Amino acid sequence: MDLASICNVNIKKLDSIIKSFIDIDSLLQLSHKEQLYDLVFSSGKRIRPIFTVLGSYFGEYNEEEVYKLAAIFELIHTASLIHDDIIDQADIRRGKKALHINTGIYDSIILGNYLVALSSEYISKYDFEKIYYDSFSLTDLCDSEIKQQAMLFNYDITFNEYISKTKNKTALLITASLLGGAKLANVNEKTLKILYQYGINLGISFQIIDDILDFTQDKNHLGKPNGADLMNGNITLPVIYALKDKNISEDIKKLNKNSSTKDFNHCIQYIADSNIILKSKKVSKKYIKKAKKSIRKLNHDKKQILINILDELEKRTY
Amino acid sequence: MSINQYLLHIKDYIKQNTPVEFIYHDDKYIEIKNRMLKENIDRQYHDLICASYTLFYSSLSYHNQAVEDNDNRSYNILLGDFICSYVAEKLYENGLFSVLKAFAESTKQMMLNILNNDETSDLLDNIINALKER
Repeated sequence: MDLASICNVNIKKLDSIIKSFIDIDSLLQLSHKEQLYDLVFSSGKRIRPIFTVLGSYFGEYNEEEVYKLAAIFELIHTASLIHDDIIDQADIRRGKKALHINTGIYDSIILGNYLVALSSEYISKYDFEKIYYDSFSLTDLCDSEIKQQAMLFNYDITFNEYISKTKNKTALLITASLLGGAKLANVNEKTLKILYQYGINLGISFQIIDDILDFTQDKNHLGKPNGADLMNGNITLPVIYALKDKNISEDIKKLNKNSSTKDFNHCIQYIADSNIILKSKKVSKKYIKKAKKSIRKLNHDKKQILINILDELEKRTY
Repeated sequence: MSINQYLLHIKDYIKQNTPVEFIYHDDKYIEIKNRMLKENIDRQYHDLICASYTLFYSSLSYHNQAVEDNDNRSYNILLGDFICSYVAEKLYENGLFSVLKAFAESTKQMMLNILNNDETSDLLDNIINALKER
């Protein structure tokens, strides 16, 4: 899915601003800068900044300002990826060594902190405080992640708990990026509400597809081992459905952080080959439908872009 | 600390949601409290500013602890992040934009210093200057 083309986003311009933000500090070692460039620019989808630019289309916007805000959202997202890779013990990110493998855990944590502080500095510099802090709470995202720690390898997780987790983990930042751009363009309250519903439903659908791909996509495309979520104890929608399947549920329930790779792979392969994937895709499609429904009353010439994104999301295979 | 609502909130949050202990730097609390009294900073901000400064060092300690504490690494990283963003959001909610800016600039500089094995910090001076300029 080439989201940038669908949304008419100038990726070169966006990347140039992101690069200029990272370039700013002469005290940041060149090796660290290069590692950050690598992380941001190597096959990252730039979903969040693209959504910021998209949001601005629904009002009167200043392109320079919008792209700066978009770059800030990408830096915040990148910081969260750096810390997530340490938490998930992921050695690979987008097909390359994760940052903490190269720099060590402590420096990697500090680099993540640096990106958050850098973003905050730009938020203040460009007077984006109201737009950013009213759109997004990093505290809420962390709170959700902290509470998830107690749910790892907990096979009692319900469908609703999974959706709530998915909303907090992915949908809220995507929605905040979209609304941030819209607010910067002085979009009216009614349209903001519509875009919020659209962003949340799209974000949930997007994460469900990510969770499916974790089982189905070959690891070269995935950029990490198959079934990494389950191996980390993260119970996603395909696993919730697998737990209802008599042929595999008992085997899954035995899995814990000390289980062998063989035991994990047995369950991962079963899920990948079963109709569980189809059932999960249906749920993803349900949220795409909800997103489409949410924009029915939107009357704007850029509405078609929102529809095109959903159509492409339905076809997403990577 | 016992009557500081912000510190109590974080302490209770950690107790209820994580297996790790609250890391509290009393020396940092006293340091900023004394400095604010000396500089005659409006008392309405004391609780929030004392908590913000103290909690920033708690956040740094959790991130430090994450390296050694393998069993609770995730909690240590996430708590460090949680506390830092909590401070920023509270400063924003209270309209202390200049302090928020000072925090962003100084903590970024601190991160750069740490990456360059330098432990110096101008966070305290910058917070006080931001408050005095209001």
